[in-house]
Amino acid sequence: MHIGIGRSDVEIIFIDYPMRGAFVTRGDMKQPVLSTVVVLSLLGSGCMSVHQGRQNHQRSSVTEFLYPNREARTEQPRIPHMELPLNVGIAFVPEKKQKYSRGSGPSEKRKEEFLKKVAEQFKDRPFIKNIEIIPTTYLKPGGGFDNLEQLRTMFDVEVIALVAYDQIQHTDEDWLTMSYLTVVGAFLIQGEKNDTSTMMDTAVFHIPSRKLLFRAPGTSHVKARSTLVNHSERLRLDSDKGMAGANTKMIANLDRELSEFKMRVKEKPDKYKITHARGYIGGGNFGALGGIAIAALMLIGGHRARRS
Amino acid sequence: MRPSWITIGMVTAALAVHVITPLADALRFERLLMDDEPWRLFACHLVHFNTAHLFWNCLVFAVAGTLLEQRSSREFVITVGVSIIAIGPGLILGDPGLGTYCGLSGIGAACIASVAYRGVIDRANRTIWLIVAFLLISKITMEFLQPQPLLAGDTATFRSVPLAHAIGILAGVLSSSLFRVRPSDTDVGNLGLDSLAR
Repeated sequence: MHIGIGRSDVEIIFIDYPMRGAFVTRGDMKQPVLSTVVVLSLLGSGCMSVHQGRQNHQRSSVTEFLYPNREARTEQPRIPHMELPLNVGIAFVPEKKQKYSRGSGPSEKRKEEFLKKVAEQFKDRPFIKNIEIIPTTYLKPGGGFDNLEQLRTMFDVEVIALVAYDQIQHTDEDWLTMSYLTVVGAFLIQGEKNDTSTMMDTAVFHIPSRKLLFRAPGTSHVKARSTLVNHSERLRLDSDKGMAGANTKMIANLDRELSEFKMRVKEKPDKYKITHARGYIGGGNFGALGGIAIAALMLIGGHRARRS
Repeated sequence: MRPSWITIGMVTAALAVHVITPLADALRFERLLMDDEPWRLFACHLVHFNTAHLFWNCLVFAVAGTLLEQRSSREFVITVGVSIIAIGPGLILGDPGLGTYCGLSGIGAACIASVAYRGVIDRANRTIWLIVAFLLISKITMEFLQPQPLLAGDTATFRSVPLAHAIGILAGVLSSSLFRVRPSDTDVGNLGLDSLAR
């Protein structure tokens, strides 16, 4: 009998084992009684054990993507030379697989939605020509700057915004979990307390100079309760809600950091070289022929009007 | 005939800006700098790329501005104001490829349009004003069709921006029709244009 719906493997085995123990007995009347006592005591200790809480950790890291090897090799940044307006790429860095993690982070579709929100916010800036959303599949785990150089060629981007996230979900049970013993309680009583903490961080790099231009984080904290049965679903919803909240805050912070970066560029022209690729140069112009013709006609018109 | 002080002032300002290069650099329309320096949207008309550009634009503006200001200072101020407000933002929205812009001709086109429109509507010396209007519209149409300007032979370093003239004409016609002054409102009418308004 499996009543551990949606629980961790440890708990399924834990509950499963004593149940089997309860039904292998036969003949002797004392045996079922003894088995029942054993089952209840084990269930009791099970309830105690779940109070220790569980956690689920999803993360990706810009540092691990750019510097995958442990040897102390560092890139030597040069002075970035940017010709405005810029082609900018934006991508989530690939996740690092967590050992005991049950989830797999946001789906590719959801990531694209988050990136689109960021792109929407900044695409109309005059110094941005285009924002290219790059799917994570184009980034190799630990790909480093070599991978970024490939993206630069493929997508024609000079600057890339690398988005990473770190999300931890804690689940604790309170005394209401005692109701799970009734089985019905596992469906109706919200005994699971979920805490979801999310941080999303964008680091903007100038690829040719390998220089970090600026970064901006966004954080969120989601608290929710769930029944035992819909626990996994609730965690997924909280995860998404946490990501969306962190994304929104990150966009606001990006806006602020961008303004500060513009100030830094103005204050320290020796550290950032900016040139303007400024469209075509145009002027309102009558020219010699047009000037003479129009001016002469207007003078004649004015003179005639005066005489009349 | 009294002096047209506002026209004289604007021409003098354009000359001064042309001489003081740092001022010209600070006032020129630069799309990429608009976020931080929005005054460029409205002050760019006083800047010119070279002396020929300055001379011909100032000549046309001086003639058209004087005619309009003699008719009514109020109408002149409204026409110039509306065209200044409309041209910069109009170029931002209507010509995304334009990076740098300057020149007094957009406002000049507004003044020409205002004077010519009134002349045509009021049927006094109508032929002359129709020719002026036709010449102006032909010039802009040709500039839209081919980037090199029809009536300007000295613009090797920059392209003509017909949209600025088109917006100027619209601003001039709108100002002239919406804020039309009655003969009693006119300041002097020394050029006889008060008779056109009757």
